[in-house]
Amino acid sequence: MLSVWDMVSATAQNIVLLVLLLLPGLVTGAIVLRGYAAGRLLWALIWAHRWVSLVFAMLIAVSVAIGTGLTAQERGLREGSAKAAEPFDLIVSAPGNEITVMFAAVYLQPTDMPLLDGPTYQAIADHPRVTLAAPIAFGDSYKGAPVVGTTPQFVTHLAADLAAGRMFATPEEAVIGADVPLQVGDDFSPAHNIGEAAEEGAHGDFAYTVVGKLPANGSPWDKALLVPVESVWEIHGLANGHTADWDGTLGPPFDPAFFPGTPAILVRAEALWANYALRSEFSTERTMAFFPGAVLARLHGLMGDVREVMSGLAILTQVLVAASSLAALTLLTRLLSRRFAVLRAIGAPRRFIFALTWSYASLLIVAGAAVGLILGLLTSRVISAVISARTDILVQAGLGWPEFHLVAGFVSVTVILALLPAALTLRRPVVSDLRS
Amino acid sequence: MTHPLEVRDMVVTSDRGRPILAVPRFDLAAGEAAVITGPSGAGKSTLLYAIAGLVTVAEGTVRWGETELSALGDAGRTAFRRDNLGFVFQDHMLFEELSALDNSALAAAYAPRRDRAALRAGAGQMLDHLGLKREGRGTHSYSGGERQRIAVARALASDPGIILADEPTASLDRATADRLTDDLLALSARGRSLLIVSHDPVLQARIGRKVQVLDGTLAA
Repeated sequence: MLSVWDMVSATAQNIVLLVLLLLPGLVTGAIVLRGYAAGRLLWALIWAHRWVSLVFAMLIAVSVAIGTGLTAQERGLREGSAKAAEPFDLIVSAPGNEITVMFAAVYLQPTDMPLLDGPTYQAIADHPRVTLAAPIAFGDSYKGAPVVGTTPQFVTHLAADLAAGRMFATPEEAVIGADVPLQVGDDFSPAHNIGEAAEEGAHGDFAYTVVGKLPANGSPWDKALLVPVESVWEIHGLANGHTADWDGTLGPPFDPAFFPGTPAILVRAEALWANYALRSEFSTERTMAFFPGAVLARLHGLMGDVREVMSGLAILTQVLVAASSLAALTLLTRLLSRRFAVLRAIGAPRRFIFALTWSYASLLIVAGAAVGLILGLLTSRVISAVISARTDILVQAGLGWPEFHLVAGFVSVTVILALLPAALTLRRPVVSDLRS
Repeated sequence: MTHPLEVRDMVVTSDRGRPILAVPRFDLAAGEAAVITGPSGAGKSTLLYAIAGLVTVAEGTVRWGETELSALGDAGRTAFRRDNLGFVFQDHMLFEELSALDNSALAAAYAPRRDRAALRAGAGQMLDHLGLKREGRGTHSYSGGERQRIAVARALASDPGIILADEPTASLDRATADRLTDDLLALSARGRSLLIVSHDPVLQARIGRKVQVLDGTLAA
């Protein structure tokens, strides 16, 4: 049985799960409404109490929106952060906190980090299985955006084809991220440091010319200005990584004796499997090697635990709101009791009154859930835009199967709960209600 | 189909078991009309509800033709009302958001599928007979007299043999009340049993048989 299930496509599995979740509600509806044509009457009752009905439906909608928005948002953030980390296979840095290094190197959240020296870099770059070993240099900025020193090879790794212009070829040239408000041909002078500590003019009249622009990749690198690492070292009064007879070709090989140091080396191996060997080899007393993807997975695992708690709370909130609404609906049925008594007097069976009350509640639940899905989508999109603007990680939250499953389960549970207020209407005294 | 009514030694009690209505004997021939009179609170409406099977009688019997209503359970009494009784209430008790036709054909909502079309057709004919147009607007926009006639159409849509009416003219002006009385008496003339609770002296005067309820007892 399990093997058959595994052979079915993920979409088919999701559809089957959705149907299974909806099934209890659908079966309940089919049984309760069997043999009746309550549509006109139901509409009349809802219209007669349209404002109260609207409040009930909106309460349910808001609770569903919170639940679906929360899960969609969490997934969007997880996917966005994972996508941003995709180009970074292996990072080697001085021993420390992997998360701190990952945030600095991948998400460009600079922090003070110890440097790896020239011989260490040399050993990594010369490793036969390493195809790319890019030093990076942080610390400068332009109008709040990070200026990152690196090699042309790493820029090519980030984007094989530039959106505009060409790769930098001299120390005074730069390639900018897609969201940097400069164009090819513009000049900019870097400030020393970043944020509130940024010192404009600290590097004198030194200016870069933008010669290329990266395509957008939904990561903080979209706002970064990438410059030759040699120039970053030089404007800080350090050696440029090359000997005095350097021919001016940017990037490796660097001479260990003239290598000022780098907080992290972005490494790419000849094959995926080789990354594991490199991580093992570069995990020494002097170096720390890690996969950003693995660190992110651990973070997501932690987020996943939080997500489960939040999802549980969201479901609990939804059920509580639905239960409150159903309790309030029980009071509303008192308003309808005289009409129900009339129906009973002219020959409507008890089961019909039961079906009418249940379908009244269920219609509000289904309508509220549908509106809630839309509200959840809109809310998560707004929050995504805010998170994207603040973190520069492109977060695209949309409704997915988990949200549809959540709402389907919620609808089924609550329409079954709606049997309770419907059952209470059976106990109403017809004659007293006729006289009320 | 009309049925003769036969009530014997009927006692209706309150929820706490206190007797609130006693009817030693009451008969209504098939197709006969009678008006139930008496002061407010005497038990007139309770009598109407008891012989409609809306309350469970504590003692005695209520028999409509071959059917001993008082011996049936709730489902049986409900089915009897659906098939044989038409009810007209004091203040119309319509679903005001529905059209005249939908109100008149209310029973189609819970009737078996095979009967629904006939019920709607019957309701439409009854509206025509009572001089009401089949318009789509809600009945809240109709006059009081028109609404009461819609209520009559609802009571007669399934062509019941028995019409029970509880103060049907109470909320109507004189002219409208007289027209409704004409309608009800015309139904009686066509063989339907008619039992009306009413304080209306004009209506009382037009119905030959009067039954008085005093202090919870039927004085035949």
